[in-house]
This record gives sequence, C-alpha cells and structure tokens, in this order.
Amino acid sequence: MSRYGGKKMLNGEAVIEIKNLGRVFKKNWALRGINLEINKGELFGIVGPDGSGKTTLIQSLCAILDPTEGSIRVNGFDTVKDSSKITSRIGYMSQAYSLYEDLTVEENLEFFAKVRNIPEENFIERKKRLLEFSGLSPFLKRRVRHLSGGMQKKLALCCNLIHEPDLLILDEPTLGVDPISRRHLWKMIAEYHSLGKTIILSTSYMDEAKRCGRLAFLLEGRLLSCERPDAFGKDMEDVFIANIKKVEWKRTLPFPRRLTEGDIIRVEGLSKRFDAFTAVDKIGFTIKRGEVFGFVGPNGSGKTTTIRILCGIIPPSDGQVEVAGVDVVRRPADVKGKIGYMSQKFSLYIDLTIEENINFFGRVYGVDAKSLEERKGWLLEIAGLKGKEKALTKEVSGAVRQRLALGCSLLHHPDILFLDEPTAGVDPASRRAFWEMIGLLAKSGTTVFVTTHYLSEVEACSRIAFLHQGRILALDAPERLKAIYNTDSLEDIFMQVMEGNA
Amino acid sequence: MILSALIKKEAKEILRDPITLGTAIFLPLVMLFLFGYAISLDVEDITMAVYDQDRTQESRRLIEVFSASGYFIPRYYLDSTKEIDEIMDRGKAAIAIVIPPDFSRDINSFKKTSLQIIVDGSFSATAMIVSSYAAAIVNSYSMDLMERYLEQRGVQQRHLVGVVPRVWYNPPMKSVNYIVPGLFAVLLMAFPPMLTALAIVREKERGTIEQVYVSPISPPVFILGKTIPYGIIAFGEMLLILATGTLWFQIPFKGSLLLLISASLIYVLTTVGIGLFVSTITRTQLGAMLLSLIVTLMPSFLFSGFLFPIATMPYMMQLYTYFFPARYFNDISRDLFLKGVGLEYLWGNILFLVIYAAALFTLASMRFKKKVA
Repeated sequence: MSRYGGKKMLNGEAVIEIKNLGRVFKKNWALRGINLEINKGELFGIVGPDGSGKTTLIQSLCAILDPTEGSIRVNGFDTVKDSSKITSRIGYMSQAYSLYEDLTVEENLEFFAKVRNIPEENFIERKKRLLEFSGLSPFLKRRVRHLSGGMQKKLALCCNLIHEPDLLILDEPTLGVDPISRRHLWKMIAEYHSLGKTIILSTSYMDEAKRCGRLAFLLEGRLLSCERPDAFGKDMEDVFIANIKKVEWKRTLPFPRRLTEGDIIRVEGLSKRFDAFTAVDKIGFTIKRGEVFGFVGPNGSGKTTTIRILCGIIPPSDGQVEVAGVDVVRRPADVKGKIGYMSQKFSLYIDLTIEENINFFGRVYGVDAKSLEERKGWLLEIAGLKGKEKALTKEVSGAVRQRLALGCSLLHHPDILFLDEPTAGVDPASRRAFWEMIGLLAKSGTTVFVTTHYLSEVEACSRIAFLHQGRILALDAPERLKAIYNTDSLEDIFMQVMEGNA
Repeated sequence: MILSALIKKEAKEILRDPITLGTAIFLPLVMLFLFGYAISLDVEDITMAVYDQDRTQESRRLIEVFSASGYFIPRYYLDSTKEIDEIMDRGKAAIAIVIPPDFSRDINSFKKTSLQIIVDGSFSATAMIVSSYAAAIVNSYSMDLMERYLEQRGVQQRHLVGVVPRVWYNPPMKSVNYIVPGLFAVLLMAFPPMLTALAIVREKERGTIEQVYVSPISPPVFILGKTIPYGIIAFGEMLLILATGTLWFQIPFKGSLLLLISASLIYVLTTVGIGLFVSTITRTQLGAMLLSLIVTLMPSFLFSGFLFPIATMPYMMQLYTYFFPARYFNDISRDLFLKGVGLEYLWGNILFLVIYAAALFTLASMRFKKKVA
C-alpha cells in the first residue's frame, strides 16, 4: 500500500482521488456522488453556498470523517483503513479555533512541533522563519487569548506549516479576518504553494477563489462543476448567484415609510478606556435618518465597543452621544426601545423553534399581540421560512438564521438598526440579498449602522468611516473617497489609510 | 516525546487556569471540613419533655437519672397530654416521658408499674437510638430498685448476669473517626473525574481536538497525556485531604500508611478513568459535568457504605453497589484507619480497583476515535 502511495507521488499524479463520495448526517446527504482528482502542486479551491458540504468534504479529505459511500485516497492511502497514515502527515486548519488559548504563541508552535516529532534544530530555524514571515515575532510571549482574530489565524497556519506538510488543507482560512490579515494570510499561502506543495482550501470570498488554480463548485452536496476560475466568467459572484435560485427571498417591509430628514445619531469626542487600554479615542460623527453608515476596521479597532456605547450597553469614558433624540450617556435605558441590534453571532436561541424565537423577541420588545402576528407572517415570508415555523433554529442554515435574526431585530420597528458584522460566514448570494434588504430598509427611513470586514459590501453604504486603533482615519461617501485617493478599489484606500497610520 | 509534549501543554493550561486549580485543591478541603463537622451520627444532648403526674421524690429521681446519663436534657415540664402533642408536633423535643400518678406508690409497695415513653420517629435511625438509650436507662433504674428491694430482704447477691461491653476498633464510638476515612473515598470521586472529563470535552467544544485528530497523536497517547497530569493532581489532592483530615480531626491511624497510599494511587486512577470515559460519550462541558456528577458523586455518597451500611440495603441494591469503586476504597480506608488490617484482608478490594481502572482505560482508548463524527 505504502509503496503504491509513494510511486503515485513521484509521477506527479493525483494526490487525492475521490470516487463516488457520499456522506449522510441524520438521513440527509451532506455530500453525494462526488468524483474528483487533485494533483500534486495544485492550489485547489472549494466554493459553494452555506451548507453546500464544503466542510464535510474537507473533513473527509483529512480522514477525520468516514464516507457513507464511495472512497477517498490521499497519497494513495484510504481514508478509512489507513487514516493514521494520512493524519500524521498532512496539515489541516479547521474553521474552529485550533490553538490552545492559555498557551503563548511560542508554546503553541512548540507543542505542534513536538507532537510532529520535529528535531530541535529544524524547529528553531522554521520557527524563526515563520514568525518573521507572519509578523508574529513581537508577540512570541503573548497568550493566544490576547491575540486578535487575524493573528490567531496566522498562528494557526504557522502551526500547520511547522512540519512542512506536502499537503495542506484549509477550511475557510480567512473567515472573519480583517482585510490586512487576509492579505498576510494569502501571502503565506502563496509562498508555501510556490515551494511545490499541494494546497486545498475552501472560501466564500470570490476574489480568493480567483487565485486558485482550479475550483470545485459545490451545491447542495453535489459537485456542480470543477474548472479553472476564468471558466466561470468575469464576475464569479454572478455565476454563483445564477446557480442558486433557491436562496431568493422576498424583500418587503411591514412598516410605513418614515421621515428621512434630520440627524438621528450625534457623537462628539467619544472615548472609551479599559484600564490603560484606549479602545475608542475621541471620535465624532453625525448620521442622518435613512443613511446606511458603514463602520470598517480591522479586528480590535473599536467597532464593537462603539456600537455597544451607542446602544447604551456600556457607558463611555468621555464624550457625548445622542441616539434618536436620547442622551445615551445620561439615560441609556431609554434608547433601547428605539433601536434594533443584531450581533455577529445572530443571538437566536438555537434550541427554540423559529416561531418561538420570533414570539420571544417580539414580546421582549413589547410588540402587541396583533402587530406581532402580522409581522411574524412578514418575517416568515422574507426569510423563506413559511411552513418551517416549527423547525428548530439549530437545524436551519447560517444564511437562513441570519435573515431570521435580522427579522427579529426589526419586529419592534426600530428607528435605527445596528448590525455587527452581519454577513460573516454567509455565502455571496445570500450576502447580496441581505444588502438589498438593507437598502430597502434605509429607503423607508430606518437608519442602518453596520460594521463589516467585507470592503466590497460597503460600496452600498451612503458613507463609510475607516476605524483604526480607536480613531477614525477617513470618513466620507464611497465615491468621494475614491476621488480623493484616486483609485477605484476601496480595499486599496483601506490599505493606504492603514499604512499611513501604522 | 509526543507524550511529554502533551503533558507539558496540559500542565501549563492547568497552572494558568485558576478555576481548575481552585477546584482541585480548595474545594475538597472546604468539603472535608464541612462534612467532617456536619455529618455526625452520634446521638447526644437529646431534648426531653416530661409530664410528671406523680410529682414525688421517686419520680424526680427517675428524671435525675435521665439527665445524669449525659444523653438527655429534660427541658420541658408539662401539665397535660395535650401539651405533649404540641411539643412533639413542633419538634421541640425528640422524646417525652409520662410518669403515671401512682408511680412512687406502686414502687414502694413493690407493684409493677409502667412508664410511657414517646419518641419522635420521623427519622427512624435516630429514633431507634433514642428509644434504646431511654430503655437502657429505665432498665438500669429498675435494676437499682430491685437491688434495694433485695437488700432490704437481706440478699447480698447483686447481678445475676453481668454485661461488660467492649467496643473494638472505635472504642470512644466517635462517628468522626468513621466519617473522615470514608470522606476520602467520596471527595476523590467528587472532583478528579469532573476535571478530567472537562479537560477533554473542552478541546471538543473549542475545536482544538480536530488538530489532535489530524496529527500523529495516537488515541492511547492522547488518553495518557490527560491521565498523567490529572492523575497527579488527584493524587496530590488525596495526600492533602489525607494529611489535613487525619491531623485536624485527630483520627487514629492503625494500619500501614504505605498500603493506604498505594491503594489510593490505584483509586485515583479509577476516578480519572471515569472522567475519561465520561468525556468519550459527551460533547459539551455542561453534559460532561452533569454526567460525571451523576456517575460519581451521588453513588459514592449513597452506595459506598459511607453513610448507609451496605449490609442493611435490600439485596438487589447490595449487588448494585459493586459497580462503584468508592465502595471498595471506602472499605480499604476505614479498615486501615480503624482496624489496622493488612494486605491479607484487603487484596480483594485492591485487585478490584486495579481491574476497574484497567477496564476504564481500555474502554476510553477504544471509544476515542480520531473522527469528527
């Protein structure tokens, strides 16, 4: 068996052979009828909407999930019979955190090296190189729990490069990571690929998909096509959306149109300090009714802290905040009925049914029974959940949960809607539909305050603020910013602004 | 190499997590003192109500005998049977005695007389002790009367059958001598299994376990990598409560200390083993915590003989107690402390613990599959 495996590698043939792969979870086929070969030295991408089977496929490739039918060979080894021969050689970065958060950066690296029996002299040399390349050298002695999300992902990647695997498998490596860290991660991936290594990764960013040599497009557990990225045409997102009719959701509002004039948020000299650390540093801005205001910045730049202050959840250290005519600093409780808030984790009770969640949030916000009944009908319709009222929330996909969470935060007809990274981990088609809904809300007079990592999304905002280390570095309409910085790409502007202030 | 890396990693995590350390060291001590002082099966200072219808020197002498015994405190002197109801209903007294109106007259005329003794039987174990104490006191009082009578008749022979009770193993009959050695078995079941189970399930919950799956770490090595650090913690916990319990409560120790420490080392492995097994069948920390409490702490209280003697349980329940290692260690610990017996009597229990621990490790290693589902 092993000699067969070795020979295959030498010939530069398939590193991975998938034959008629199928996997069942609780009677549902998560994957079915997948046939695929991946060759040595490829940079291979797996794309598909939420719940299409990307993670299942990746876990099957890593030999930590057995197929229900069909088979997979990795380097010639069967993933069921010889799983230990596969798992001991490859590198795998899961979507979840894969680091020990009470250990330091150095201790994590050391642990993963020892577990892989890396000789001391190799370890020292590789550690130095990886730390320099990833920019983690200054944080050697810092505990992982005190690193930002982007740094954690970089470290997780380093921990998987320490044994220099020939095959590296990454499950959405840049999920929830700010644009700068995302660039770093891709630099690391590209460099490792240039050494002749095979890399397989899943992603929901279309610009990342374009960088892959070949792409497998999964839909509802089936392999829709496997092509080079340019075969998908110019705008991959369009292909993606064209293929996914099912996620189409009705976009209507149950509210009357409202006033769209005057200021609704006024912030002056706002600061927030946690002990010695300044999370928000003297920021100020005004937002008009019906605006979609984008708040953009890397992890740890103060986005969530600002939202929490505006919502009256935490008091500021300094400054004035007025939201919907309420002085939030003096009377934080009064603002709560006028705002809707949706966090990155979609704050739903996953063990309740969909209807129970709607009823719960409706009552909490004091919506009367008659209005709640009407709005419940509307919510089920826009979320495409008609007939699924009794389903448990944990059983529906992330994209559907996101719509449900959005609907729940709108039940009491708030003046302002705060969205904290509302589209993290949601596929492009659902993301686009989500933004159309936001546009509709704004037109009807609901102000939307949104934070995000996706710079392609904030194009739809009426104004954007770039936040870094608690300070606003630029604030204007997207077209104006493009004119000022003389570029068409918001991502470039973001990089310029950040680097000018690093 | 891999094993030492796992142990080193685990040790650092434990040392940096104050909750784990606190649970391992501080909570067992708190429980040791709580239970050491709170659980007492000794019956003394029983409050007594007296309805003396006779009111003579003789009846007062009887009451005097009760209070002089050291077990009873006559606190309520009543004037009617109705008052007895009230005092007993309110739980103010555990026992009431009713002395009939012609008590002294009957005694002085050598006629048979009888006393009424009412005992609160809500908690039957205490009630039995209280009523037998009372009966013994009345018997000895009656014996004295008999002697007086015989003396008046010029008979010098005093007792016909004399009883000289000798209590072995725990001569002062202090229940703390019996509770504390049993507590070692219970406390070791309370925390180490839970901590061990949490250590593995935490990795599942956070997702670090996937990194372990995709690595050359084999299931037995991973299991050992958890067992050794948590075994050391549990053993340290054992030594700590052993030293504190024995010295603070001044429990006499009769057996071989080496034997006790070796036996506790094996017992510690069974407790950690239970934690490992629990972790292979649960996915969340909450589940692991609840399950380990149900399979460890509760049975070790109820079915180890710690509080309730196994011999008095129904036969089926007696068989059930064989499933719980606390039962075996409870015997070992008490026998070593109180009786001072050696390996020749205890080898059976120790052998069982060895088999139990080995079975748990095999089972846990077999159930630990390097697959996400």
